[in-house]
Amino acid sequence: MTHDQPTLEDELRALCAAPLDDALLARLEAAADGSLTEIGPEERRFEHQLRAISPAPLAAEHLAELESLFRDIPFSMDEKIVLFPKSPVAKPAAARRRPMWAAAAAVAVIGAATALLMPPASGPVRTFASLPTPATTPSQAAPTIAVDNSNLVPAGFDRGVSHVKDEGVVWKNDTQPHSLMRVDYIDKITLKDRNGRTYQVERPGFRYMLVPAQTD
Amino acid sequence: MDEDPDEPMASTTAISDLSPAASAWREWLETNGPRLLLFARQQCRTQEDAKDVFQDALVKLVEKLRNGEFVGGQAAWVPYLYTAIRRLAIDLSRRDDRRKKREDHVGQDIGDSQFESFHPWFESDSSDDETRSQLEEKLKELPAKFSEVILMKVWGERTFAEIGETLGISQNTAASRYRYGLEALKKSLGSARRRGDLSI
Repeated sequence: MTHDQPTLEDELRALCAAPLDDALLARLEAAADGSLTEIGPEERRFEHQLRAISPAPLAAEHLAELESLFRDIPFSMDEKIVLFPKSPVAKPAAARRRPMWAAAAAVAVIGAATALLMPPASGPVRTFASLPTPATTPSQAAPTIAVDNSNLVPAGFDRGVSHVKDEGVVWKNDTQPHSLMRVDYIDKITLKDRNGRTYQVERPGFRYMLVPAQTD
Repeated sequence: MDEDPDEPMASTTAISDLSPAASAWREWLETNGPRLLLFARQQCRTQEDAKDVFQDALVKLVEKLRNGEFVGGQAAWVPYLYTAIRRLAIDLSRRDDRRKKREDHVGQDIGDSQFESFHPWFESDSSDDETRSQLEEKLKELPAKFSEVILMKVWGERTFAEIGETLGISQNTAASRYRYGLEALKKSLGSARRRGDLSI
């Protein structure tokens, strides 16, 4: 066994590995130079002939089943454009009948009513005294007098919205667009002292409000 | 009943009645659905399996989109679906193999093949029915590793790099399989082509 080993090794060594065939050689060369993934004209022609035969379309029933999967999924056109599905609660027609400034004014009135219960502000306040009869309209000509605020109690309030301006659309964190509305108003507060005398206070002011904007 | 009598019935599925997103999804499905289902049919044993696998793949995509977990834009959906279809088909095939060992399905296979003949792979109103049926038959006869590359390249219009990623092979291997497969398909269609029975 030991005696035969060199002879066997020599015999094996004398055998050569089969050479690569031309097709494999060409393929290896093409892989090395990056041209293997390029399609030749004859292959391209056959490919076009095959492509002319279209795959069977989806059956209507199957298509409907698949569509239902995407019912609530936005469709991303690209990085910036996303089409959103219709929301089942999106029926805002009734709420949109009122103009946007009316919503802003309503909020302003609520804010003013709250302000009545707050301590007097340090802002510009004009106080007018009038006759004991109820004063429903301001009297700009009434003489200004010093009044002891501690004796006054609220007797009436009126807010007049003088101007509403849409300052543009802003986006908040919840992705809901809002219109930024500036509302200018004049509060007319009627006060009464213990002698029944009425006083009217006018206080101009403005507020910024966010009103949900309509989107499609 | 909460139905508003003034509201029209929403039973119609005309594309103009759909929201922009729903219209876009339908258009996308009509464009990509046939080629993805074709690939699923090549990967699965039956038409019904292919439909199930295709649907499951779409569900996976939908869940990822819904949860904001999908990486990439719209262009990445189709490559993702090819990969998902292939994996799901392999899983299904393994489950079927285990089931077949437990059950006797002598008559089932015959039923499946009869069922398949009513659901051709290619559009039945194509100009040449003989070409269509011959092509389907020859594609089924090809080794799966060739036919899957051909389906993705020709009808899926995927690049070799994308095909390689889906199949877990290099793009050079994908290109080689495509060439071999195309050559084999051409040869197997050869006799019919020589007779002039085929339009390709």
